[in-house]
Amino acid sequence: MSKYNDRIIQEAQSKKLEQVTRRHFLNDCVYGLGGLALGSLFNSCSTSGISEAQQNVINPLAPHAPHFLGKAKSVIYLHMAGAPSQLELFDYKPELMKLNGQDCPPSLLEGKKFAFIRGVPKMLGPLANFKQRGQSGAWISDHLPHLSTVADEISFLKAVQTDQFNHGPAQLLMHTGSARLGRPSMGSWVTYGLGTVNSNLPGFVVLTSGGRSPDAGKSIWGSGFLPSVYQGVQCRSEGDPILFLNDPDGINRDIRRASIDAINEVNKTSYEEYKDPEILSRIAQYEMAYKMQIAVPDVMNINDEPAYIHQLYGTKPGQECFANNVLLARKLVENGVRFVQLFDWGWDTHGTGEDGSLEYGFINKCRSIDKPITALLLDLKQRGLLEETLVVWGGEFGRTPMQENRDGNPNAFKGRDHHSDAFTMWMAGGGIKSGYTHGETDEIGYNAIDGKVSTFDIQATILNQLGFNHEKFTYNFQGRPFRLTDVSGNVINEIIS
Amino acid sequence: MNHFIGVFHPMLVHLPIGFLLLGILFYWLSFHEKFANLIFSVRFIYLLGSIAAVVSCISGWCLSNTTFYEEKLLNYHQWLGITLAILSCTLYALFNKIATNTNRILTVVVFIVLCITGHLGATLTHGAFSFNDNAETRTANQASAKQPIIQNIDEAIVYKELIQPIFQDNCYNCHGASKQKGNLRLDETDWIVKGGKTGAVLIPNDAAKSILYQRLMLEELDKKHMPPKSEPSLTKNQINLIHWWIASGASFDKKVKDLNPTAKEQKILAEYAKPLQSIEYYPAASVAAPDKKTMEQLTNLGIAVVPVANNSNYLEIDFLSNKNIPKNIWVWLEKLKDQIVSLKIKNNELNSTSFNTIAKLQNLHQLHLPNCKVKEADLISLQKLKYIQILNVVGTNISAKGIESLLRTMQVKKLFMYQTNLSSAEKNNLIKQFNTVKIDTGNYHMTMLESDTALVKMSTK
Repeated sequence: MSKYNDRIIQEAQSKKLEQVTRRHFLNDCVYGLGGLALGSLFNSCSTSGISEAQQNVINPLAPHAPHFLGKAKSVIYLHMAGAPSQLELFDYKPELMKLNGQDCPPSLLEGKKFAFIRGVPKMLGPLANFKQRGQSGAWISDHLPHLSTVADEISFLKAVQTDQFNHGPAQLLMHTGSARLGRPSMGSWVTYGLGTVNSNLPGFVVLTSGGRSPDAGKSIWGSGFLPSVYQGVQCRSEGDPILFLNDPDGINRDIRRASIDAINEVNKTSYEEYKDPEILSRIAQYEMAYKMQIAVPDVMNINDEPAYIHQLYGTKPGQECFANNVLLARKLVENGVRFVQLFDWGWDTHGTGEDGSLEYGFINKCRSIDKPITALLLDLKQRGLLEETLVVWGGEFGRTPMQENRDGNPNAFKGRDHHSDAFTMWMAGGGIKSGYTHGETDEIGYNAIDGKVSTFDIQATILNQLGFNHEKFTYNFQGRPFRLTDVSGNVINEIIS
Repeated sequence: MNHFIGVFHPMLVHLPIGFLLLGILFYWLSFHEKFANLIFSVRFIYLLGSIAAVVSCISGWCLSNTTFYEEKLLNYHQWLGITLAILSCTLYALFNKIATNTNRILTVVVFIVLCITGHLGATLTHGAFSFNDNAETRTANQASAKQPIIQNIDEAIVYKELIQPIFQDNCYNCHGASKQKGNLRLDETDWIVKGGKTGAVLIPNDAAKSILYQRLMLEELDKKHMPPKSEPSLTKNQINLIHWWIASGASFDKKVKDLNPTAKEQKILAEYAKPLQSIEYYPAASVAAPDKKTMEQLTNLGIAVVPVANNSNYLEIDFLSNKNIPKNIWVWLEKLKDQIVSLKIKNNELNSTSFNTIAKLQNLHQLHLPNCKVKEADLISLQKLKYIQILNVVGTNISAKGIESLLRTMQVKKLFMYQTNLSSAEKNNLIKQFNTVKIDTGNYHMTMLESDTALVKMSTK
């Protein structure tokens, strides 16, 4: 094959030479000098700013050791996009029931901004029955009957706070550490830090369900300023798991190999010349795609799982659904994927329509996740994987104790507006305490009063469980070291076992 | 007045250090032809050095009278400082009167005394010098820090068993025997009662007014927040315990039950009583670096070989989804026998050769063999592996007897045996027999509920 490779390289070189006309040459001289000056101005854009440690030239995805021993080897992050109501699931507020239907006292509205509530809304009591579950006595509503049986595996964070009350920015803040675009996502950071142990699979896989992608778009699993080789790879649970991965008709695997070799050869020479790290990403991605052609259909195929597993998870093979994604997440983690990110859309219960109401749509959403998530925890546990797999559940913010009154008029159905001051998330496995509750909200679940936790604290804790000191885990960009938690974040030691 | 002069000591001491070193440097350089002229300034520099040394001694004396330092260290520092002052005066006075050789010896002596005195002084103010004092090790230690287990929490003495360990881990470094920032020592009850520069730090029954508690509650970025920003803060539970202890009298000898813990404290105290399933993941002793070439060869075969941490030579090995293991792999694994602490192989057939090698991995702490085809006799040969903490035999055909003999000789803390051929009676028997081992037999089921498949819909009008 090397004969062909030489030819392709020759062709690439002569094509390049053909483009260099006298005009180009003169242009290059001017731009070249300007470029030199700019290069030193924007130090980070020049290759000299990137250390060897930051950029493993041969294989950017080679496995690395974390700062210290991480109890969790992988993370399954279940994000309920749209923000589920904590007041109907985990944060039991009998006091709020007493206030049901009364006007919201002005003291709660002073100086507050809401996404949709205008004027004086009415208070809305919890629309679910709560019980204390398990030995730990955690409050879980009847909406999640299965999860209630495994309450003793979970650490609840009852007083999570964020500072964004719109979906896109809040999701970005939760996953990239900034409400604005441009930062790498948590999974990208983890892949950058740990590499991937299974060279046939990506280190960071994203699975979506619920019919729509999360509001913040693909940037919540993007790589930001990290080399793009670390971005999340979105897989589908319906049809081809990864689009455009199959060989076209008439092209067999040998020809595919030869062409990838040739392309990589050209890319390597081009890297030698320009030292652009993105070229390395490209080479790594070609290699990964080639390997994934074999490995991915195997891992992503849930049809081979035994019937009792399908029954346990409540999967629907062939369809795009949350249960399938959860089962896939277990399979991926089992095969060495470090970060699996699930987004389930459809939790934005404003009460403007039946699907987005607390009486109907919300209950159905709960039913669609209850069994799979419980199955995931039990299945990981019996396989000895829960010890080293951190499962995180949450939305991007919480919901108000007031009923939403869009434009001052009560909505057609019962619903709650976006609320950033207090909401519930939970973690399980991966060195997190089992059967523990941290944090507390006031009598109506409006403000956090104890054990407040920020989005940065969540990120710091996830990194800590993987073996990273979030304050030392940095990447140099634009002349300063950046980190996921930026300048804040404390590990939530209370929930670490 | 004493105090005023004293505070200048840490600044003044740099003068004699500078002058004397410069004088000695000039003196030795002057033997070189090129720098011969320097000899004329040496005596004058010695004079400056001697004066500075005497002034430093006086200010040091004042400082030692107004601030506590560890006595032994202080004594050495004090007498060496005085010696140095006398020596430097001698150096000045005898400079022109003694032979060159004597002069040279004297400079060497002054140099050595100077270094030791300086070092002791630094130890007094900054604490003992340590190469390991970087954030990395600190976080690592913090992450693995174990909460002590208290058998009988009601009878535990609050100060001694709950509060003192918090002080010890978080405060002693700066408020202990080696350093007393703000003139405060927290390592002896007498010192705690005495307080620091700003007076008493402890007001029994009034936590809000006690400086000890106030400093914990300040904003983290506040300059006076304790522990300082560079150190990990106390956990909420620890702060609550300190509050409870002060609010109920800050007694040094009362027991938990005497202080009537409320529900809030009970919850925190329960954490102490809970026996922690402390699992070791790798040995405390360090190990030689693994052979790079062997690691590469294994990696090329698609086997994950990853160190447990950045600064550790211990390795975790995962065969991932590899189905066909080449035979020579066991030879390579054996070359890493001291470094491997975790081994994961799944869905493979393992024979006696493989087990011969596995049995040699003496530092193995975790062994996962889910769904591997193994012979029971081979599995039992692993008895020698005394450090194994987590054993995963999910889906293997091991018998109850096999598990029993393994558990008896190994110190397994967690055993996963889902999908093995044991009857439920045998499983229950094992769980009863080895009640210190966390045995997970798996096979979890969920009850079928109508809500699993049904949807709620608005009734059609």
